[in-house]
Formats: sequence, structure tokens, C-alpha cells
Amino acid sequence: MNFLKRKLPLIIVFFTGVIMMIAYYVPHSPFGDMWKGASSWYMVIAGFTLVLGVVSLIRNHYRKIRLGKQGFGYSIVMFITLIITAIFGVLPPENIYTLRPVDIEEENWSAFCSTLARKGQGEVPGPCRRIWTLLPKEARGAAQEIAESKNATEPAKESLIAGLNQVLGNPNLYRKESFPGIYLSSRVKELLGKDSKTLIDREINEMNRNVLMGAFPDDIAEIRNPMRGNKAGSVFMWVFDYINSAAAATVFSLLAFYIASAAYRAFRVRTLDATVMLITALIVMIGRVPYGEMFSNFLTEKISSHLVFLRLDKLTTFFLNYPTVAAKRAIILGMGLAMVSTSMRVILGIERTYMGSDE
Amino acid sequence: MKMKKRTNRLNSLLVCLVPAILLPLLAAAQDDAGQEILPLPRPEQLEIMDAPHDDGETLLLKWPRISGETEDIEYVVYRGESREGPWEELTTFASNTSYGTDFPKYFGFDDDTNEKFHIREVTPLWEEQIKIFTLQGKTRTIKKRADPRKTFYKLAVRKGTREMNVDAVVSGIPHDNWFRKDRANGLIILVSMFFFVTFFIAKAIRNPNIFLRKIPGIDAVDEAVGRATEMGKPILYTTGYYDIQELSCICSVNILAHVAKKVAQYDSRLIVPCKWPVAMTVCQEVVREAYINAGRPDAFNINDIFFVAGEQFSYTIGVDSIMVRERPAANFFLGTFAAEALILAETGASTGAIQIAGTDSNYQIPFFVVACDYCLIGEELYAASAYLARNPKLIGSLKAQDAGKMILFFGIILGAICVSLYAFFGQFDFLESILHFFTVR
Amino acid sequence: MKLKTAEKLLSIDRRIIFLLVAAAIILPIIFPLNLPVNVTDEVRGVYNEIQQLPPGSKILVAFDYEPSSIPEIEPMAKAVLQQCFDKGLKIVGISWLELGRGNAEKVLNIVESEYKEKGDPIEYGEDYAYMGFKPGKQAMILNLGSDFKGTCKTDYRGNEVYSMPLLEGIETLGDFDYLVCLHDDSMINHWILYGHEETGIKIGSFCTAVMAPGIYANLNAGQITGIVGGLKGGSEYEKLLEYKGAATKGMDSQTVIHLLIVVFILIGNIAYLVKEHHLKKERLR
Repeated sequence: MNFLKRKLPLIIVFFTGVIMMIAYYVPHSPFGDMWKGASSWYMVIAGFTLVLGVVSLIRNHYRKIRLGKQGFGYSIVMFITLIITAIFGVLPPENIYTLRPVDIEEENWSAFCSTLARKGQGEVPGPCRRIWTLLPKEARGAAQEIAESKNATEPAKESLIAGLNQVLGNPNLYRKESFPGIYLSSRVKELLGKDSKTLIDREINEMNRNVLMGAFPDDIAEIRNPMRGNKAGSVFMWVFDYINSAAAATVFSLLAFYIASAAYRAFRVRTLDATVMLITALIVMIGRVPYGEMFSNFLTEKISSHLVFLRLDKLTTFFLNYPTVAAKRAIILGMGLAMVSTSMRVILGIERTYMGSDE
Repeated sequence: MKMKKRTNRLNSLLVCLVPAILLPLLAAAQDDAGQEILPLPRPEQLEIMDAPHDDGETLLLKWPRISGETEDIEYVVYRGESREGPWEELTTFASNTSYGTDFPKYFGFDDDTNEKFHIREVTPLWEEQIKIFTLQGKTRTIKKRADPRKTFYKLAVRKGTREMNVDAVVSGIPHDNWFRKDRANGLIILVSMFFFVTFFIAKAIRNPNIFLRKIPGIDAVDEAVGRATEMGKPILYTTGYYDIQELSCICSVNILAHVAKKVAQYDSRLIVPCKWPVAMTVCQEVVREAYINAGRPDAFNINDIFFVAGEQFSYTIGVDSIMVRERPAANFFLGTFAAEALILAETGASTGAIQIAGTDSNYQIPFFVVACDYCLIGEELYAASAYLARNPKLIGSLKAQDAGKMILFFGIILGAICVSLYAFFGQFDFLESILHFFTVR
Repeated sequence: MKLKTAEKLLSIDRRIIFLLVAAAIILPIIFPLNLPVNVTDEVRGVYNEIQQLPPGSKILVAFDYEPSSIPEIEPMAKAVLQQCFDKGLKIVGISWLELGRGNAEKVLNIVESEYKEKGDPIEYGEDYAYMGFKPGKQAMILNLGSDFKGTCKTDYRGNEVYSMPLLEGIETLGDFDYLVCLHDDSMINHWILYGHEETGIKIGSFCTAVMAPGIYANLNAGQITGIVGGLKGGSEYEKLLEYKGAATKGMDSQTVIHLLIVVFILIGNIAYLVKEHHLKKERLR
């Protein structure tokens, strides 16, 4: 047990660390590929560790609810939102390419069916003729009924829509001579160029729906957004855009208030260093805004070329480019060496506290 | 007779007129076609070579610089499967670009030599593996790249719609190389650091009394834990924005072990809200071991080390709400932090807690310095575990770090002197070589 | 100033400061000041690099910012996309941040619908494409540097990238003409280390204001061509494109709040000095 808990992790860390260091300098296979492959493994492991996090979250909040602790109502909200987001995010998206009765506007039904029936039964090749030949008998009957009575009843609509969806599932719907001059996007062209035997149902529907929309642009509605899944327009993305993003931006905005209160509290002329920091901060804050630049616009070349440097925007650029960069570089250099040293300690097994014990 | 004379005169007129009209036109065409876009390189001047120190995915096409190269003239590189083609246009670029000086990682920094030729990185054609899989009952294939195959290249010069080909076709297969010479400078520093670390660890084992300057933030840990115990309030500890694979989180966990031991000894309460599940698991183990080592295994409460949220500001608000509800007497913010740094620190300050922060994120250091009582800056966070443990091995590595820093310090001064001397005198080529060796390519 | 006044000022309730800050931000939005914007060299560095690219050039746009940074980064994202589409440049988007995916979709959809309304529609697959979130962080960038299509395989709509007309001629990261990095954390360092240093691709940084000072070191080293930092950078970019977007409108509030904080600091220091003066007088007595 001691070997599994103490020695084996150290051996794994050592060999992994050394191999990755070698891989950085040796591009020859298999080392060159290790760099690229390692992170893929990490993503797989990270996916499983998410389960740990969710279990911990559920356990803690359930405990809060069970014990009736202060604020347990928020824990109930947490559970509800967790379930909703998970369900809508994990479920595969529904087929958004099939037609529904609402995809043809109420006032267009009669005209659409009348055009479809008239041209479909004619001799001239075209979209209507092609669709008519592929429509099942019941759907043709429904279309003629709507065209003659000029009234689209619900059963007739359902029957025609069912027939059109059957046509949408036909991989051989599109023929150039039947659909002359219609607009085909690059995605549709790509699908049409593939062997129809390799296309899955969703792709066939997508291809044919776009062809149908191209042939009847005024009658067939645009493709709707899916409710399930995580594409634009889905419930999941709605939660992301209007709850998560909005809340995150709100919390981020708190920084504006906290910066003001922290600046008011912290910027004091206690010592010489603090005074220098204060003056620099004031110059940069004023120099970074349009009004601030206007305060020193009077310092032009005409007065003195040396004084131009004292303009607030020039001083700000100087501070950002030189003292700030110098200080940051110094910190980065120190940190770089510290990271090398710490990494060596971890790889060589000298630093073991992260395993839970120093022994 | 008269008709015949007229016809003859007409014919003579035509014979004179037609050339008079056509010749200037022909001459103009010849002028146009006869003039070269550029004097093309000779066939033997077009070379192909394997890109040195790479993983076998690139070849280098080389040809000499030619006078008259301008922005409106382009070089076009074609790639083909065989000497006869078919050819595809691989890359196009302005003729006054892509010199050897643009590729110091292959050719170094000798600008005088490197500006005399063009270099273009080209990729080969690949053998393809066809992988067959089924998706919803349909068989599909995807092509996966396997090994590079022998690929042919030719060069052309283009101006507008006119194009002239160099009368040469070159071919090559890239190979992966065993060593990245452009990273030799980093390897030297790495090996030096390795020797420093082992040397100073050995020295520290022989003589454990090594001076370490005070780090006020770490010295204040006892004070903070003691204060919390007196007030009967908990201690809050966060390991930061990143997961356990980041060094800052590992170092933070090391400090957590020490803090947890103190908390166990003082019989106080430690709350550790985590942003990552793996970090949470590690923190739980570390705190559990600390409590066991302090002889207080019964006092360990696993529910005090929990996962809050994976998203940045969800986590921040979660921790803020813990601070406002539980009102800890001491807050520890140790690790890498992003924009949430000031939000956490200010909320903690509003509750009156003593705050100790430490981060390697140099964008957030100013915020922690302003809002916290103590702040570990940059490498002090990495040094903290050695400082706390006072283990000779760990302290030895700290000394090695300092030695490395001194070398960098003198290296910067030496580099500044070298650059200045070279700028003034321009004769010390060996100085330039030293500088270039240590330049990142 | 009396000692009592000074002490009151020093221990002022934070909520009063917060109220004044809120007023300083909200009022300029309701009553715009229309302040002039001066363009700095750092912003011009990015703008000029993109402007000199010929039509048909391909730009990789890395959407590496979280939702919290949308107010700051989205205006500049829209501005740079607009510049590219107006110039006929082709955009390929990618994210190495999981949360960046939603932001990318959102901004691309907004820009697409704006161009549709203008009557100059841009088409997915021909004018732009989005590869989606690709895991792997540093290793992902390394992989892009050697085999772009093999790393991406499919875009975020599930289309295979090998047959995408937009990616013709793109084999590696280095085949792109420019990289626009929209980031709110230190991802730019990885794009520089594994992207620019390995393939030579030119990079422009579009970042939050808090990140900008730290990236000047990279700018000075020539690793990036320019920095568009925060709302100010965004407003400068909008000025170069000759339109007033969200960033320019936000500069009014930013100006007022900066000046307000300066006033706070000055008042705080005056109160502090007055208090110190009184305390010194008492000690001397």
C-alpha cells in the first residue's frame, strides 16, 4: 500500500517529468509526438475528475438542505439550475431540418399547395415536378385538397408535412435540371458532392431542407434553432448568454467599485516610495483618458521640444514602456528561475507535500 | 490589260501596307514578351534541404537573392507528386521578402550572409491512412496523415498575369532530427541549474545553517492562525485560479499543509473552497494528513474542503459569500489569480479579516499589495514551502535559485557591455556570437 | 481643515464611494460627452498590419476570453472583424478556452446579421469559419503549428475542414497571414511561445486593460505587432475605422471615473496630511 500511495506516484512524476524535458529538446519520434499527445490524455482525465466536483457539490448542498442551514434556499436553486443545464446541454440536439406545419405561414398554405399541385402535375421539369413525383399519394391528396378548398385544415397540413419530410429524407432529391438557378451554400455543395451512401439522416435532411428553401424562398421558413444541445438558439446557450455571461460580467463590474475604494484607502503619502507610486498612478490615470491628454496639450514643439516629453500621454507611454516593463521583467525572471527550481524539486521527489506527506 | 495593271498596283499596295500596320504591333508584343520579369536563378541554384532540428514536417527551399526584386513581383512555389506534376500552388509571397535573415532559428544571426538568399518553408505531401468508421449506421472514411512522401517543388516568378518558371524541379523528404540546436542555449541554462541545485542541496545537507531572509507574509501565518483561534472564527484558504498541474497550485498546497497543521494544533476551523475537483481532492488529502500528523484526526472535517464552481466568477461569488457569512478571521489567497483577486481581497477586507496573499500572477500583485496585509510576490510563493519546512534539501534549492539569479544579473550587465562595445566599435564579432547564442530563436 | 472633518473623510463609508462611482459611470451614458480619442502607436501597430494585407488573406482569430470580459473585448472583436470583412480578408476563428466558444458564436452571429442587414452578406465556409473549442492549450497550439487541419478535424458545426474552401492552402499555423488574439488572461504568452516563436506568425493582442501593461514587454521585444488594451484601445480602433461603437461610448464613463478616482485620492491625501499635521502638533505639546 505504501508503494502504491507513496513510491509509485514519485516514480510516475519522475519519468513523466524527465521524458517531457527530453521531448522539448528532441523532436524525433516518439518524443516529438509526446508533447502533442500528453495534453489529450490530460483532457480525458480532467473529464472524469469533473464527476468528483459534481459529487462534492451535490453532497454539500444536499447536506445544507437536509440540516436547514442558513441560505439553504440557494442550494435548492443550485440543484434546479444544475439539472436544467445538464439536461439541455447533454441531450443531443433535435433534428431542426425537418418541416413542421408552422414552417409555412398560414396565409401561404393555399398558394403554396396550389403552385405545387399545378406545376407538379405539369410536364415542365422544375422543383414542383420533382417534389410531386417523390411525394406519397396521401400527401398529394392533401395538397390538392388545400389547393381546391383554399382552406388548410389541420389533418391536411399534417399529411402534407409528413409527405414533405419523407421527401427531405430522400438522398436523391436534388437534380440540377429540376432545381435550376437556386442558391446553394458551400455547405450544401459540399454535402451534394459526397457519396449519398455515406450521408447520415441529419445531413440528408440538412441538404434537402436548404434545397427546398432555395426553391421556395417565400413559402418555407428559415431553419429554426435547436432547443436541445449547445448550439446557438438552444436553451443551454440561452442560459449561458443571459444568465451566466450576464452574471459574470456583473461580478466583473464590481471591480470598478472595489478599485475606487481600494485606491481611496491605499494611496497615501506615507513614505517617499508611496508618494512616487501615487504621483505615477495619477499621471497614468489622467494620461489614459481623452480629457487627461487635453490638460497637457499646451506643451507643444513650439514652446520647447524637451517639454513635449512632459505631456501626460507621452509620460504615460514612457511609464508603461520602461519602468513597468523593467519591473515586470525582473519579477518574471525571478519567477522563471523559481519555477525551474521548484519543478526540479517536484520531479526529483524532494518536494512531496502535495502528496499529503513529507516522508 | 488595264484591269491587270490595277490589280497589280492593288497587290503592291497591300504588300506594303500590311507589314507597315502589323510590324509595329508585332514589335510591341515582342517588347512585352521579350522583357523578363526578373533574371531567374539558374537551375542548379535552386536547392532543397531538410529543415534542421524539427520533427520531420518541413523542408526548406533555397535560392539566391536577385537584383530587381520588388513588392509587385511575386515568387510562387508549386508542389507536385512527381517531376511531371500535377502541380498545385503551395505558397505565394512578395519577391522582396522571406530571406535567410527571417529564419534565425535555422541560419543564425549572420545578416550579411543570410540576406543573400531566399528561404521558404514548404510542407511535403503525406501518405494517408484511411480510417473507416460507422456513424449512425453509415460507413465513413477519414484520412489521417501518416509518413511524409517524396515531394517535388518548382519555383516561378509572377507579375500580374505573367509568369515565368525556373527551369528546375527539386525533390525531398523531410526527416525528424534528434536535437533542437536552436534550444541549446536553454539546455545549457537548464543543465547549469540542475548542477546548482544538486550542489547546493549537498552543501545544505552538510551545513544546514543557511541564511534565509525573512518573508513577512509567511512569518505572519502563525499570527493569523492565532488570531483566528482567539476570536473563535474560522480561517479561509484558497489555492487560486488554476488546477493542481500548475506549479503555483502545488506550492499553495504545500503551504496549506503547514497552515492545516497549525490549525489542527490550535483546534480552529479551516475552510478551503476549491475551484477544481482534482485540487479539491489533493487539498482534502493534504489537510487530512496534516491533522493526523498533529495528532487530531478526529477534528478533520472533510465537508470544509469542497468544490464551489468551475467558472471564475461563480467561484469568486461563492467564496465572497462564505466570507460574508462565516466571517473568517484570517484569509489566505495563495496561488495564481486573475480578475477575481481584488474582489476577493476587498470583500475580505470589509469583514475585518487579516489577509495574507501570494501570487505569481504579476497582473494581480498590485491589487493584493493594496488590499491585503501581507503579500508574497512572485517567487516568494515558490520559496514559501522551503521557508516553512526548513528542510536542508529545499533550502539548498532556494540557494541554487539565487545563484542562478546572480548569473543572470551578471549576464545582463555583461550583455549590456557587449552590446555597447559592439555598437561603438563594431569589431568584436565574438561578442556578437555570444549575444546571438543566447538570443531566443 | 479641522481634524474632525479629516477623520470623517478618512473613515468615509465605502457605500458613499460606491454611489459616487455608480453616478460617474451612469451619467455620462445618459448625457454623452463625445470626447475626442487620440490613437496611440500600439493600436496603430495592429491596425496597420491588418490594413496592409491584400484581399483574400487569411486571419486566425483566437477567441480566448471569458463571458465576464465581454463588455471590454466584444467591441474590439466586432471592430477587428468588421475591418477584416470590409477588406475582403478571410477569418478563421478558434478558441482554446471552453467558455470562449459561446462568446465567439455570439460575436460572429452579430457581425453576420449586421452584414446581412447591410445587404452585403458574409457566408460561412467562404468568408469565415469557426473551428470551435479545441482542447490541449499549449499542445494544441504546437499541433496547429505542424498540422492545422489534422488538429482541428471538424469545425464547430461538424463540417470536415479538409474540404473547406476557406482553408485551402492552410497547412500550418504559419500559413495564416496574421493572428488576432482576443484574450483576458495570459494566453497571449502561449500563442507567442508556441505560435510566433515556432512558426513566425505575426500576432496582435486585443486584451483587457488590466493585462495591457504586462504585454508591453512582448511588444518591445517585437513578439507582437501591437496592443489594443481595454476600452481605450477599443475606442482608438473604432476611431481608425471611423465609427462610434460601444468602446467609444464607454470612454465618456471611463474618463469621468478616472477623474473621480483622482479626486478621491487627492481628498484622501489632503485629509491624511491634515490629520498628520494635527497629530504632530499634539505630540509637540
